[in-house]
Amino acid sequence: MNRPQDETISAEDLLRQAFKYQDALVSYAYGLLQDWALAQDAVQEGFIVLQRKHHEFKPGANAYSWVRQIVRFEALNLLRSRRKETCYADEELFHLVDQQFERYLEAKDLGDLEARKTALQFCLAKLDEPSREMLLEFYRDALSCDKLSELHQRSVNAIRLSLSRIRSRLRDCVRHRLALLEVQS
Amino acid sequence: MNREELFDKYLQRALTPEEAAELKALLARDPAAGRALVEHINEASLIVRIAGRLHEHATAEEDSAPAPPPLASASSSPRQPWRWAIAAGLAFLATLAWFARPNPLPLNATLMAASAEVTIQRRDQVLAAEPGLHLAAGDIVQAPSQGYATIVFEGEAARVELRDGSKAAFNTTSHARVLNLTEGSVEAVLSPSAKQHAATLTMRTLHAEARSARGRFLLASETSSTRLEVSSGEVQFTRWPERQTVSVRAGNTAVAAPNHEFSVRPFLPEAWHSKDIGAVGLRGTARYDGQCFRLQGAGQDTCCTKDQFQFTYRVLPGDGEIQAQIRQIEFTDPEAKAILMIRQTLKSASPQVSLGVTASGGLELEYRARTDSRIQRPGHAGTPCWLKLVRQADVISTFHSANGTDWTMASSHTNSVAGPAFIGLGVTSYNHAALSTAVFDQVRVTSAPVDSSDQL
Repeated sequence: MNRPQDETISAEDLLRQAFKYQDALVSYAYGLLQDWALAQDAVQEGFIVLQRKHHEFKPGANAYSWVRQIVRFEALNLLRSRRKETCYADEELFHLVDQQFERYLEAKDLGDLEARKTALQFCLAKLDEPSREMLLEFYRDALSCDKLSELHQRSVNAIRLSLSRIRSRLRDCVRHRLALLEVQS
Repeated sequence: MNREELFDKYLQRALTPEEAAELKALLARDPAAGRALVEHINEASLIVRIAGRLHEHATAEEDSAPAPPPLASASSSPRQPWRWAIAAGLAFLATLAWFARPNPLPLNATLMAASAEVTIQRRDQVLAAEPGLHLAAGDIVQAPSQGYATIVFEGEAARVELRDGSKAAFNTTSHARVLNLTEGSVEAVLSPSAKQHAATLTMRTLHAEARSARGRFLLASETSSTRLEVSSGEVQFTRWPERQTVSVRAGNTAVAAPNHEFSVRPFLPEAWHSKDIGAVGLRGTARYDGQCFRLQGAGQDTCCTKDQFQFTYRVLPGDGEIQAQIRQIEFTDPEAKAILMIRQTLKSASPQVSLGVTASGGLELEYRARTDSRIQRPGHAGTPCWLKLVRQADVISTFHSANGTDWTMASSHTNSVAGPAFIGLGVTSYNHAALSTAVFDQVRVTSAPVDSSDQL
């Protein structure tokens, strides 16, 4: 039976809403999959599924939660399909991390992530290029401290210390920036 | 091992079974640890996303597909049989080279989203533009005059979007995807990670070619020129027919046209910035072409308790003024509006004073202090018209004029903003789902010298 017109939302409108949450969804998928490239695939696949299932979305429901469920399903599929290739798929941890994201959202809103993003953008722009590159190698390319040590011809401990200092500098800068914006408002 | 190291090892899939058990136990017993993990992941994810954009990637050079092998010509002279032998040898080598040539890249493009009336032409057929449709090399995609088509390249975190009557053909070579843009504009968002194969995307028009493997950029084909705008990453931009190439980095634009200087310029002059204030719905833009500021913005007005609009601004440390001629405000609603504004912060509920002209031609004055807000309609102006705001000590005055010489004061406000503030131009479409364009000419800002410690 066809649904009444006013009870559905068009795929276009839903996709538009979903795009607004793209950063948060990629973060979520990255947390579940621990792989930046796979996380982006999961979100992209999720958006394609969203096109097909848009009629199941009830207007007025939380669009982010709905899309997140789709991305979760896609991430789980990817994790299971990769199990054959990498022998790595700890579904217990997957569900535990998923629960943490669920709880976190109950406590905070997505606006918080957006404010942090703005602050981080400012702070990363101030960071020197070699430090930015090292962060990318560590998180995006998943190079271990051992690999980074070979790459940069420095000791593993020196790499660990550098990463820790860079993160600490960034965190201080973000905290300071958020406080500044708070005062200004 | 401290908590942060444990989280990092989780993100790197480097946990030993004991460490995985430790993490599970920690998450099960300590809600604060769960929050810390999510914040750690969010931060790492934002670092990758933002640092990736900031990082300058060397763009892979596109190799064009090898030309088909030259056919060996052979003399038919029966008196020179050795020529036959050479020709046969050459033909054999050429055939080998032809079969050994690099294969074109798979297109791997899928129509992800499309408004009604998008058409896809495949040879002699016109296909229904259903989301999920896989494109084939040679397919021509056309968006309707007020619609869009989004195409994703699978497995590469890359997509292109055609809008409002734009038309493009999709093809591949051995090292690049090639998109021939025959009409309109296309925006490309290419954000593959280092682990993903980053195929170069080449976009060609009548006047130029743009090549990149990473970044976000817009290529617009106009009647006599092609414009490139790069929001992130770096794009190699080549002008036909002399094949002159410039490198265009994030925040810059270049125009390729015959008899036009082929140079790169920033979106905005030095010291100017732009930002969408409030939940506008669609992302706005701001560009300066050497003469006019052209702003595009969405949002549901600057009014009452919160603002939603595109703001292009400078820091105003103390006294100062801004004036501009409003040349155009696109009608997305009678209340769509081009404005001049002085505001305390970049938050949507910030105190502000603004004077604007609506798409229906009315002057509209907004005033919001910490304890009070007001809206006035001091008359009718239409476009073009001139507006001016002046801040002197704790007073902000607003003016309008028909000629930029004879000014009429519209209002005066005391204690609306204090200390360092922001001064600039704005546009709101009065519609979350549409962008309105406003054009500001002869913009002039004067201000007291900026104390560097107040720069934001």
